[in-house]
Amino acid sequence: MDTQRKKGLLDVCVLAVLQRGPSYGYKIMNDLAACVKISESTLYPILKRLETNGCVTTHTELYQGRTRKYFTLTGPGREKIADFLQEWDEIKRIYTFIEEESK
Amino acid sequence: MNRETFLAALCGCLSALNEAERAQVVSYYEELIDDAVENGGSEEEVLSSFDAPEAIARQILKEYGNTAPTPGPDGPNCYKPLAPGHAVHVEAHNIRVVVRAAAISVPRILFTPYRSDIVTTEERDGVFYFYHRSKIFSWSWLDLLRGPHEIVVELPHDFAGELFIKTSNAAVRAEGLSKLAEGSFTSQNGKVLLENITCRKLFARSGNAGIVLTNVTGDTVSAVTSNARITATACSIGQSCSLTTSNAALRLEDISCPCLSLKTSNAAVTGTVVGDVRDYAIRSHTSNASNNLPPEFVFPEQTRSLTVKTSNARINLQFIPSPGAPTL
Repeated sequence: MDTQRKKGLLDVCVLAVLQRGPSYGYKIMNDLAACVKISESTLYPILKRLETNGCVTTHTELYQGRTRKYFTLTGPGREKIADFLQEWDEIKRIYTFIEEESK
Repeated sequence: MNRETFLAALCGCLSALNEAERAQVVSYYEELIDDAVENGGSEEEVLSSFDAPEAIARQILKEYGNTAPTPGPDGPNCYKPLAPGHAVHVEAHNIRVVVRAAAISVPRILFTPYRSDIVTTEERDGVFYFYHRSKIFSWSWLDLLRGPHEIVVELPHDFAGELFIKTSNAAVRAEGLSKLAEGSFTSQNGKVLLENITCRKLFARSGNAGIVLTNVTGDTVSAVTSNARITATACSIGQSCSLTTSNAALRLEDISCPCLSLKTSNAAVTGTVVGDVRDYAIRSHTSNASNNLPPEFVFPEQTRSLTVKTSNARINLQFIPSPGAPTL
């Protein structure tokens, strides 16, 4: 898949995973593995970008003597998911149309 | 390879980043290693599941949009686009932004992020985006001792593109830009100070803080604020100029413009306009105060227009002949 498009899709994937609740790096990677296997070096810039855009907020929590960075979905983050789903609804319709016409 | 050597190697490959950003990457990986080891798996297994530190660093630096900041010789990071585009877009948060021209060929941004600053840059369709946010609760008292914290945007002298600057709670200053096509300078609650700027289409906005335009030339100028004064000095505008505020004075000195619109309330509009008063279709309105302009002075032969509106304060605009105009 085109890398630029994949980048945008992965961003929304991460946001979708965070809908279940605040999560941390390792857990996000595992939850995403159900859909797409990404390396931790791909995940890092995605999380950074989402934080700068205001789609997630971060806080650190103490866990068994070490710190863990938790990411939480924000309002704008949820909007981004909704926008994506709406956009792709249209693409799905166009896809079905093209499929039908190509029969 | 063990944990220490891996992290040290990673750190080494990320020397292009500043200390704060490098530390963030390292703590991210530390956390990952700890979590993976906790979920079963030896440290060795986990480390070998990662890419090599060089590959990781390459990917992270690439994701910075290839606009990873290069540590400048005297401290501040230097952020610049790979290709000189046609526009620069800066959005900042609670920090002063200063724009100036420099003897460079590609626009660049000089900024030293503190631990509480988050900066991302992006290059898209010829526009260089610089986003700054600050994490409010990570602010350290030591930062106060470090001197002025500001974002400096440097543009080549012949930069003829578009500039968009936005910040909050701090001033925007720009000077010495001589070829701008379009400029938009916004600060919520901070002053906007523009000096020696030539810009075809200029927009300055503030809220609760003053706008000062000095020696600004262009085709259209629009300055909007509220509860703070607008002062324009020695500006020569080719098409239209609109200065709007409320509850604060408008002061003009040597303003030359064919279509001038001044609006405020509860404060005086004073100053000098370059031109012949008879040339101007004048509409002026105030209440409970003196007005040296006619309320309506409109004739078809007039080529210029002046609209002034305020309330409860005086209007006093003098017309001075343009230098070189024949004196009667």
